[in-house]
Amino acid sequence: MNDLPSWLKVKAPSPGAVEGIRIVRDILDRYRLTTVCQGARCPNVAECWGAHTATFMLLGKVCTRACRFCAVPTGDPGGMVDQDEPTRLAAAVAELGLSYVVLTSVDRDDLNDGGASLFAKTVSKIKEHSPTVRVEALVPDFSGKEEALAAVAAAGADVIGHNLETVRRLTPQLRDRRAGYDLSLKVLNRFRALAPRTITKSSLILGMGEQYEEILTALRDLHDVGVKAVTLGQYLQPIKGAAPVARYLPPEEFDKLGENARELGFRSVIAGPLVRSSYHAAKLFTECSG
Amino acid sequence: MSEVRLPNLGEIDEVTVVDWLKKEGETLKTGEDLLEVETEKTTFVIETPQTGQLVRIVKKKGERARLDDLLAEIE
Repeated sequence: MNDLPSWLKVKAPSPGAVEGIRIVRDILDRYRLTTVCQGARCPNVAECWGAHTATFMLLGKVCTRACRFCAVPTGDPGGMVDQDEPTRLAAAVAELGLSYVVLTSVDRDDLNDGGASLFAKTVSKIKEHSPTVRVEALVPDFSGKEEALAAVAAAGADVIGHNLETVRRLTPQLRDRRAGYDLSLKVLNRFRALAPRTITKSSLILGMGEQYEEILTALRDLHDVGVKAVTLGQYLQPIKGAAPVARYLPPEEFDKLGENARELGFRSVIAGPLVRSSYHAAKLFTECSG
Repeated sequence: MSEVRLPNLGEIDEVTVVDWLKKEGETLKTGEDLLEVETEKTTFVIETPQTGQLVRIVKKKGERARLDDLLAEIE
């Protein structure tokens, strides 16, 4: 057994939430869609799916990168893209009756544009199908390619997220060698310039060996490139063989970090042991735009 | 006799029984915490589905359980 701390304990879902899980699963199967909720073995699936919301994962189930904290399988998708995925996803969003959608994807270094055009097409399709739905695009770094960033920026997402994931010192050990701390900051900075009215958002996973001061530096760096919303959550080892948990931060430490982030000037912050990058995303958006 | 089965915890294939919070023979009330199960990432507390007596614990502490597996019997 894992000996998880008491603050990672949650109630099993209520019968109503179980019904929500069943409804979401049925729609995902019918429209042949993937969520990051499953790929990441997220602890909040019951809460989110119970409320009929999910974070959709575009461009397949195989990632070209191998970050040590992630459970999504690594491989070579061989340039395959399901061009019908945006249409099916837009239909699923309408059927689920969502008012806020988070889209993310695997990394697709096998594609020239990293999958940016499909991301952009999906945002457009959702907006076309359901004009009042707010869309958050949580994107990879697209290797920093300007055309890819511009395509996503022009697609009309309400929020563009890109996760810094960890502090500078740990980035080479934990993220894929093609990712980079400065590359992620550059990507966020470009989105600020390319889509100045769009909220940019990022996330840090904590408990992987970082020091408190290093977290504050990462937060300052994110704020300096215009990030308005940030989420801070506990790293939980998704599968055996993934990077080990260095430390479980108690809830009070997350509260303090949340306060520090607000003092730095972020408009919206969610920090807590079970927080994930798209957790309560609609609330963050409301706080940012309010 | 009614059965306590592992509920749908949200796309989770398998869990480990961490602890039973009630003993065999104890009287249970609906909604009381009954047992804890865990995945790699979270501990879930499962509540007593109905009032009665816990007559048999089927999945003991440390055992693995899958969706809908019989965990205990209540009379």
